[in-house]
Amino acid sequence: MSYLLAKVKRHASPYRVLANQNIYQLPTNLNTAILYNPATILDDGEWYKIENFSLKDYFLQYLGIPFITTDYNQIAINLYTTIDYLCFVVNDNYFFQNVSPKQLVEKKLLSLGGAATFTTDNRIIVINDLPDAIYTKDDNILYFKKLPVVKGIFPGIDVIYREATDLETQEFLNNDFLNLPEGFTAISVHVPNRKRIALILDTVNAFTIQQKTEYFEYMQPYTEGLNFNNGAFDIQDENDLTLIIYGIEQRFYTTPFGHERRIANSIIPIPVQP
Amino acid sequence: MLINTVYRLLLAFNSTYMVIVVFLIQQRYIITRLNFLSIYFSYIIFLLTPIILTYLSFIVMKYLEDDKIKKDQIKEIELANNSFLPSYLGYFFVALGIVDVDTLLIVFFILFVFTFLSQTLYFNPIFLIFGYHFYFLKNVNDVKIFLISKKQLKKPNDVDFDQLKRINHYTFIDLEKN
Repeated sequence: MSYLLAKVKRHASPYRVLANQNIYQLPTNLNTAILYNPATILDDGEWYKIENFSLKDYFLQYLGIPFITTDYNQIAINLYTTIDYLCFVVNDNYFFQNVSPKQLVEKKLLSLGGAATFTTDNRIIVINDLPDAIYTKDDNILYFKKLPVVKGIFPGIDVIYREATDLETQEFLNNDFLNLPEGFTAISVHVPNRKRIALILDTVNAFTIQQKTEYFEYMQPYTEGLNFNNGAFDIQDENDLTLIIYGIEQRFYTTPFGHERRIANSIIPIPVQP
Repeated sequence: MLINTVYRLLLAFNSTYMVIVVFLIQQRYIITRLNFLSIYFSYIIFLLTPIILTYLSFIVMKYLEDDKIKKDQIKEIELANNSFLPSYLGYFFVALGIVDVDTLLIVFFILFVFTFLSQTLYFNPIFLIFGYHFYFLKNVNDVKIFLISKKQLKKPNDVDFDQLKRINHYTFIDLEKN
């Protein structure tokens, strides 16, 4: 039997919506899912995965206990408009769909299944072709595609890829290897770079003088457009800053054959074979 | 949603209707069309009414929401067959003390409304006649529910319910025979 639950705003436990409808099925390509890494950009149809999901702080408590439908109260009509997300449960697999106000539509409807019927005041939640996230309890893995979408379902999951705060961004900008133009402060740095800064800040803060020299030597062939004087890069705008961040992330490389210089805009770490 | 409300109204009515039956009999009311027969025929009809209504409620039951409890999910079983007795005796004594129809209607109305709203006192002893038993079940997540079932339940880890119907958040009825 399959069940559809709905999590409602300000209510801790989800509600039961209906039973015995086949809303989602497990996608066949979950076995090719890529371990979540902020530097990895997914191709079409690919999934990220987080292993040992039950050990994470952003794990949902009701996923950790046996799923017994009688534990869940039946949803009341007045709660429909405050649904946060839907959770479809079948065979210990949980499929999540975020419900944004955009997906809850109130429309006049001409229904064409059989005899045409016209109804007003229809409240409909549009079910996407694919769920936003899938949790398979047996192997304890969470699959998802877009972090910002599942942020509403698993509060706190954005720790895996958060933005640097103003303070952290400024801390990064204050590094002596950056020569910034007048007026270039944390406010000038936008979301994508802030996320990268959050990831590299610890590395940068732990740099020894020796490491710094090595990094800058590695980066220079790829940052020819930037002036490098007395151990500092002259930064004109955010694009220059991005280049430096790429360098610290070691995304520059040269192909061994053909010697083409490249930036890796997506990275998948290759697991070390034991 | 509507079916559920109808069913709960029916259950609440069936559970409290005995008050009216006791009153009618105590006041020696008879059905005038049947006054050529013995007064007992009227009494039998009074008594059969809640039984027939209860039977009707089994038909409505099929349209309620489905639920399921799998094996090894139940931790505790407590038989509740006799829990209806105190409230029922209460109903009977109240009904025996009523002398006029107005009081009866008010008392019945109050009992009915509170039975309906309390959501827990759907003890209808007529279910026993149809072979049902009442149980409190506690599952492995420590959630307690009230179950109406034909099964004779004893060992918690042996039981599973494939065809539960949801009467309200706490009350479920089992469609399976054995």
